Amino acid sequence: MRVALIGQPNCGKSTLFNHVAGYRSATANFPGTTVKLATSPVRLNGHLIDLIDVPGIYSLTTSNPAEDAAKRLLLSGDVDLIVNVVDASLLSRSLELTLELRELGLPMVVCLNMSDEAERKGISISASRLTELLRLPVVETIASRGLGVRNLFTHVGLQASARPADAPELAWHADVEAAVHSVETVLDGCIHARHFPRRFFAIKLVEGDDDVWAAVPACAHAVAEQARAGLVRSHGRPADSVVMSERHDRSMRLFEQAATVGRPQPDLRSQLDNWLTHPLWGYVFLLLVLGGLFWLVFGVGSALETLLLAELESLFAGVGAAFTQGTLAFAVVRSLWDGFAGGAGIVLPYLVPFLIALALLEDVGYLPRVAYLMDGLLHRIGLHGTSTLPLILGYGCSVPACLATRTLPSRRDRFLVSVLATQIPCSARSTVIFALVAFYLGPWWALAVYGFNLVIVVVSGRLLSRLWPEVSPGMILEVPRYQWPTPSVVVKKVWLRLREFIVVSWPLLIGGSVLLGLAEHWQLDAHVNAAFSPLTALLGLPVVVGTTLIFGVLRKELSMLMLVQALGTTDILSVMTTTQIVVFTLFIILYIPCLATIAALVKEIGRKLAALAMVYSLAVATLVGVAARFFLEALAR
Amino acid sequence: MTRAAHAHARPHTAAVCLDRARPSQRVRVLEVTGGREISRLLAQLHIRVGAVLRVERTAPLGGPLLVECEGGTVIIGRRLAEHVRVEVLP
Repeated sequence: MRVALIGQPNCGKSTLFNHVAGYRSATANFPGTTVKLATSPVRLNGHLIDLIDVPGIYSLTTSNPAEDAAKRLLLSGDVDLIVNVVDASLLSRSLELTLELRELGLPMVVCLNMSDEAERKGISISASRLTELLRLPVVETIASRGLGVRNLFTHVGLQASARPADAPELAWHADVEAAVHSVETVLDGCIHARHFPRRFFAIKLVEGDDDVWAAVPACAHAVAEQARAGLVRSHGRPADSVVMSERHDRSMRLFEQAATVGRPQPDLRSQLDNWLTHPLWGYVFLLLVLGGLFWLVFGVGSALETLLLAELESLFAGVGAAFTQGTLAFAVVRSLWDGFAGGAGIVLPYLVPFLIALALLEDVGYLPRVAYLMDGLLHRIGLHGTSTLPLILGYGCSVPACLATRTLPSRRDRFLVSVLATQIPCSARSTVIFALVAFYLGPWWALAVYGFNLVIVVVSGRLLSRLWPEVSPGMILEVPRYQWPTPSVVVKKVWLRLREFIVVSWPLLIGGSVLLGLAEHWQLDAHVNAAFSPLTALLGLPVVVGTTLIFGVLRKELSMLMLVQALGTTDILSVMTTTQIVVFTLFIILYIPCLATIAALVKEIGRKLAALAMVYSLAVATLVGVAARFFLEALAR
Repeated sequence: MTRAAHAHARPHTAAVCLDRARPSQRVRVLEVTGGREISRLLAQLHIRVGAVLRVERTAPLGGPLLVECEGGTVIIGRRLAEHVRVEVLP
């Protein structure tokens, strides 16, 4: 049985999914995190079901690719049951989607989530009354604490093949009902399939939905056109607006019948926004948060790095003694060990605290506030506050950042934001900044690299938005409530992102290390370095770093780890100048993103634009590298 | 409801664009201009003709508005807010 979890953004869908499906899906407290459909086989109360986590949607009226994905899934016939997750504290609004889903005629269970939040807002809802009115099972849950989840899936099992019963009291006004009915009748004559969502199709045709319009036989079009024209005549506004009002009207009535509104409990969180979105204190706090994040990651990371590197080196002294230096065996063992130690000693110390901090910020719900604060500034580079989210995600990893652009309304915005997001140092590149610049040159240099990078992103944004002027209508974004981070969700999210490093990059890192070790053993690296020498000479870098640039395309942190190996020492300062370290880092940050990101770019913006983005990044990296070289050299004199 | 009908019903309130509304004002939406795509975007978060909104605050530097609508809080960029014609409620 395939069960789709569907609900509006921030309704707690992914939290619920995580609760039952384990470490497989990422969630975040802002709209549009679930950009791909995560599916997980789950055994619940003896039933084996495939649980599908669908992106948060407000309606089945497609306005972005995420909603499109949801609609296509629901119409594909691949879904046996819908679990409609509803945020109880926003019940009146959420019921519109419930009513729309009901029109599909699929077996359905309503999950009334976050009832604790509703209570706090003074809203008390009778689930049994709602069950009666909707003629659908309504189950209360508090997914963040796992309450009611078992009960929910008991109902899923019971409801498996029960299609929703007719609910005459949910019918619309007579004239709208008649318009829909006329289309239903003609659809029956046109479509010969035994099962199709007749009412859903009819309503969508009346609404003028392009996809459904194209999906049904042309013989239904004339009647649908008539029905639409009739509604426009009698209501004086577009037919889709009439239908929307009907749903709104019914959901308001449902709300009034099933819920009572009392006095809200005093809530500190509403006071919090007076400060956190304040025109002055909001920005002060934002700077403090970002600064705190930086020092935390650097403090924890560098302490651990020093400790671990010394520990690992002394460990190797024991292992290495068994082999004779200069032999092939020694070269292999040494480079295997270097690859392993690089991951454990240099990447993980920074990656883990960074991912934890980012997951906490996401889960608390702070990021949409950042979007609010940053919108005005981002307008100056031709973007909107909505783009803040992918850009901030970019500091974690470029791949989810590119995937998150899917929630942006225009192709132009998706291109611009994904190009800019790939110019932002992801956690892998942050590792380079921390382990190379901060560790050898000091934290202020690292901060300067971050600051300079931001300048480049701004200039890039201005340039690109000049070349491709804006057409998108602007930002609209729902603000979730603040919530305490759920430890299990944070742990799962960190693990999900960490796993990517452990299973994909670490083996690559070790393999790359061995390749480089062998190349050095047979003295092949000289040829690669010679091929890259025009570039390294232009950037004023040592010739030996040539090979490391290739590894950077696999994974950015590889280039730094390979640097240690290529130079043959961890005491980088003895072989590279400050200028060279900074230029190397800037080049690594900006040139062609890693393989995984390239794949994500191709997927999101297409092959042509992705190729363009790569050429652009290479040009920017070279330009910035050369400029930084001459500037710093002049400064040093 | 057309704008003319509304003006007739409430002759004493002038229609303004939402981006002109000030913090803590309550407004009612009279019309959403700018075409189907824009009204769809706004309608999803229940900013539709007839809806009552409360402007909570506005961001500096030409930033967006924070608006309360049917119990939810929504950030609306200024360019989008220009498409929403509202009347200020007392």
